[in-house]
Amino acid sequence: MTLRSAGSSMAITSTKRGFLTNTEQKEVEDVVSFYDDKVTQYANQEIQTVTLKTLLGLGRSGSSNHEQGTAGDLAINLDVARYARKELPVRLARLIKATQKLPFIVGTNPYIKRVYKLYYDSFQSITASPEEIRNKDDLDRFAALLKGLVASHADVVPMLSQGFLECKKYMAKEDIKRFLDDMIRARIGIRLIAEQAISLREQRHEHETSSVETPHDDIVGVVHTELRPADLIRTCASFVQELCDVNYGSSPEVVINGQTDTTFTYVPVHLEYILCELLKNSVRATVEQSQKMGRSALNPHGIESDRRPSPTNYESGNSAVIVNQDDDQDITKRVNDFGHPPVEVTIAQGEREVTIRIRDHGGGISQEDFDAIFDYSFTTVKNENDASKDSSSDDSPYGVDSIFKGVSRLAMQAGLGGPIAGLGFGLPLTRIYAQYFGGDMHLISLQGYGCDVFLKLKQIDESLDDLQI
Amino acid sequence: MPNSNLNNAPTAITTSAFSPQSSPLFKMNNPASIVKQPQARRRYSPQHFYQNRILDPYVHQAVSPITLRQLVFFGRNMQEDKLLKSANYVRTELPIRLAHRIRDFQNLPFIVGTNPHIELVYDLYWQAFEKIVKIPEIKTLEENDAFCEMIKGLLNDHLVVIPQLALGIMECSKHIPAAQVDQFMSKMLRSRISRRVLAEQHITLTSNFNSPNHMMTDRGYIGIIYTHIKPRDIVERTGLLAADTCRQASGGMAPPKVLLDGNIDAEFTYIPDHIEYILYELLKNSMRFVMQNGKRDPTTGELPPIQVTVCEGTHEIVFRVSDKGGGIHPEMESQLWSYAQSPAREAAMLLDRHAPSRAQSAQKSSFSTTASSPQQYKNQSLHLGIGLPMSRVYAEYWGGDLKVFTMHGYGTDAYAKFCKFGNIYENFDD
Repeated sequence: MTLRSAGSSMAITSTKRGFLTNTEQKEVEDVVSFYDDKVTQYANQEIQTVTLKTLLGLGRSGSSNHEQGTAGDLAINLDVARYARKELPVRLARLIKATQKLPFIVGTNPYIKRVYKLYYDSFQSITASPEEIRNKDDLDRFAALLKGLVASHADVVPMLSQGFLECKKYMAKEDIKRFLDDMIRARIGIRLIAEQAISLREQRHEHETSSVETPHDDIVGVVHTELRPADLIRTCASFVQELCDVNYGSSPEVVINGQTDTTFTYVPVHLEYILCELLKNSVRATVEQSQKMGRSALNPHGIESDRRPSPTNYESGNSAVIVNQDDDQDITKRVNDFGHPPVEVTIAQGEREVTIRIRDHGGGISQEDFDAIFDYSFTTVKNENDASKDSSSDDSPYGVDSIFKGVSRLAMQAGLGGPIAGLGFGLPLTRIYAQYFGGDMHLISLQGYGCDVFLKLKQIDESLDDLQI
Repeated sequence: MPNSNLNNAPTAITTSAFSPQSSPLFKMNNPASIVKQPQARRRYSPQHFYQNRILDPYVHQAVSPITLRQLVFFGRNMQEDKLLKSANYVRTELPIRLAHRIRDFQNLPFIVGTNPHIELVYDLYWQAFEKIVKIPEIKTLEENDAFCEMIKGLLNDHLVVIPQLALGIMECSKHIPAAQVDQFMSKMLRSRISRRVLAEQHITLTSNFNSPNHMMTDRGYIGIIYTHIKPRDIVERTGLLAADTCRQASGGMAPPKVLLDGNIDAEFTYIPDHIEYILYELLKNSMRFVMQNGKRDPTTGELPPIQVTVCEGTHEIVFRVSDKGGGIHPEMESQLWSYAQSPAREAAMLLDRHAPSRAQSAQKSSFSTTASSPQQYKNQSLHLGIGLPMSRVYAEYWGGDLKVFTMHGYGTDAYAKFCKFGNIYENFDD
C-alpha cells in the first residue's frame, strides 16, 4: 500500500498514518478529520453509471485483432485505465460516506474501523496518483497501484462480518442487511472496474512479451467468453473436498452431469466464489448428516433406519411406477467408502441462461433455521467462545474441544484459503453475486433429506448491454 | 374436485335416480341447461339490487376455520348427536363462506360481471346460498339425510364452476389487470375447496354412519380423510392414471416410467384427493414434457424416466417430482402460476367453445380411464392451463406449498410439501 504523496495537503497530519497496523489490538487512530471535505466532494459527483457494455466493450475490441497489435490494445487499455482513475474515487467516496453514517458505536468497532481505514486510504491513494495517464509507463504504474489496493482489500468481507457480528445488539438486523447488501454490491462494482483495468494491462503485457499468439483470445479482462462450468465445478469440488477432509476426515464425491459441454460468457471469479460457497455447504452438511445418522458404506441408510435394502431393485411388469430405492448403479445416490452419498451438480444450457443445480443428501435445514440462513452472521457452526456448551467433544469443527482453536485455526484456514464454514455470510453473498448480472439463486430445503440449490446465470452478452454496474 | 373412487372410501357424489335432463352427463355437455330462464331475468332487475340485503348479515359474520386434526378427532366414534352437530356446522358455515365470495363477485367491474360465464357462476352461487339459508336447524337423522341429498346436488351442479370461471376470466383479461385476476381466482378457489371439504366430509361421515361401513373409521378412513396415507401407494395410483391419460392423449405413445425413492413408506394423515390432484397434475406435466422433448436412451430407446423422491421431515412431507423433459422456456415460466391465459391458449380456447364441458367431464373422469378427447395430443383443448395454480391452492390449503423450478434445456423439478400433523388451520382468505 502506497503512502500518501507529499502533494496532498489535506487534513491528517499524523505521521503514523502511513503504517498498516496488523494486530487487532493496536488502536487504529481516527482516520479522518471531521473537516476533511475531499470525500464529500467526490461523493457528491455523479456516478458515471457504467453499463456492462462500456466496461467490456472497451476490452472486447481490444483482443479481437491481433494484427492491429499492441497499439490498438494500448489505446483500449488507456481508455479503461483513465475511466477507472476517474470513476473509482467517486465510488469509493460514496462507500466511505455510507460507512460514516453508521452509528458511532459501530464505527468504533476495530474491525469496522479497519475496513473504513482501508477504504479511506485507497481513496487517498488513487486521488493522489496522477490524473493523466498518457503512456505505457503511466499505465503500468497505475495498474500496479490498483493491484496493490485490491490485494489489501482481500479480507474486507470477513472483517465486516466479524465486526457486525460483534455489533449485533447495536443495530437492527434489517439495517445491517441493507448496509451490507449495498456495500457488497458497491464493492463488486469497484472490483470489476479495477480488475478489468488490471487484467487488460496484464493481457496486453503478455501479448507483447510473447511472440506466440496467446491462447486466451476468449478471455477479455475479467470476462471469459468460453467459460466451461463443468471445469470450474471440478476445480472447486477438489478444493472443497480437500477442505472437508482436513476438517472432518472424509468427504463425499461430487458427481457432475447434465449438459457438461456447456460454455458461456461470464466472470469466472464470480462463479468460482458461488460454487465454492455452495459446495462447501453441501459437503459439510452431507458429512455431518452421515455422522448423525450413522451412515456408512455398509449402512447406507443409517443405523437407526428400519429400511432394509431390497434384494431386487426394480419391480417388473406393467407398473408405471417402479421403486428404485437402492439402486447401486445410480451414481447420484451410491454412497462412497466413507458412507457419504454424493453431491450432484447438474448443468443445463437454456436459451437465455445457464442453470446449475446442486443437490445434496445433507439432511436439509430445519424450519427455525431456514428463515435465518440469508441473514448475515447466521451460522450453524458453534462459536468457540461459547463456553457454556457441553464439553462433550462433538465432531463439528470449531467446537470447544476442537484442536483447531484460536490462532492455529486461523493459520490453518489461511493456508487452506479460508474456513469451511462459520463466517455467516456465504449464502447472502452468494445470492448477491448470482443476482449481480441478472441471475438468481433459490434454495429448497427438504427437511430430513437434503437441499437443492438452483443457480440461474445470464450469459453476459449484448442483451445485458444496458445493465448498470 | 376429483372424485375418490380409489381408496375404498364411499364416493361423495353418487348418481342416484336422476331424470335425463338433470343427469350429470347431460348437464356437463350443456352447461346452459343449469341456468333456468327466469333467473336470467333476475340478474338485471332492480329487485336483485334490493334483495341483496339478505346477504349482509352473512357477509359480516366471520368464518370459523378448522384444522385437519379437529376433523379427525371429531369424525372418530361417530354418534347421532355428533352427526347432527356436524350437519348444523355445515349448514351455518357454508352460507357465510358463500356470501363472502358472492360479495367478491359483486365487487368485480360491472363489465366483467356481465360476461355470461361469470354470470353463470354468480347465479349458481346465489341459488346455492338461497337454498341453504332457507334450511332450519337439523334435528333428526332424516332431516340430515335430506340435507345431504341437497348438498350433493349442489356439489354436482357446481362442477362447472372452475371451467366457467376460467373461461370467463380469460375473456375478460383485457378489462382487469393480471394481478387482480390472479388474486380473485385464488380467493375463489381457496374458498371453493373449503366449502367442498366441509360438505364432502359431512356427506361421507353420514353415509359411513348409515351404512354398515363403520369399520372404515377403524381402518383409518374418517370421512374423506385417511390417517395412513403411504406415499408409495399414492404415487403408484396417480402415476398409473397420469400414464394412461398421456398414452391416450398422444394416440398410443408410451409414456415415460416413474421411478420412486426416499421415505416411501412414511405414513401421515391427509385428504388423499388433494394429494392425488396435485401429484396427478405434476406427473402429467412431466410426462407431457418428456414425451415432447425427452431424449431417448440410445441403447434402449426409452424415454428418460421421471424420478419421484419422498422426503420426510419432522413436520412435513415433500414429494419431489423431477423430470428431464427439457425444462420450461423463460417466457412461459413467468406465466406458470397465472390464471390469465397466454395468447396461444386463448386462441385455442376461443376456437373451441366446448372447452368448458369437456374440461368438466375430464375433471369428473380424471380418475377413470375414459378418453377425454380423440384430438391430437398437442392440440388438446382440454388444457385450461390452470392446473398448476390450482394445485398450489390445494397444496397451500392446509399449510403446505408447491414450488416449481426449471432448468431450461434439461428438465424441471417440482416440490409439493404437506404438513404431517394436521394442526394448521385452513388457509383461505376472508
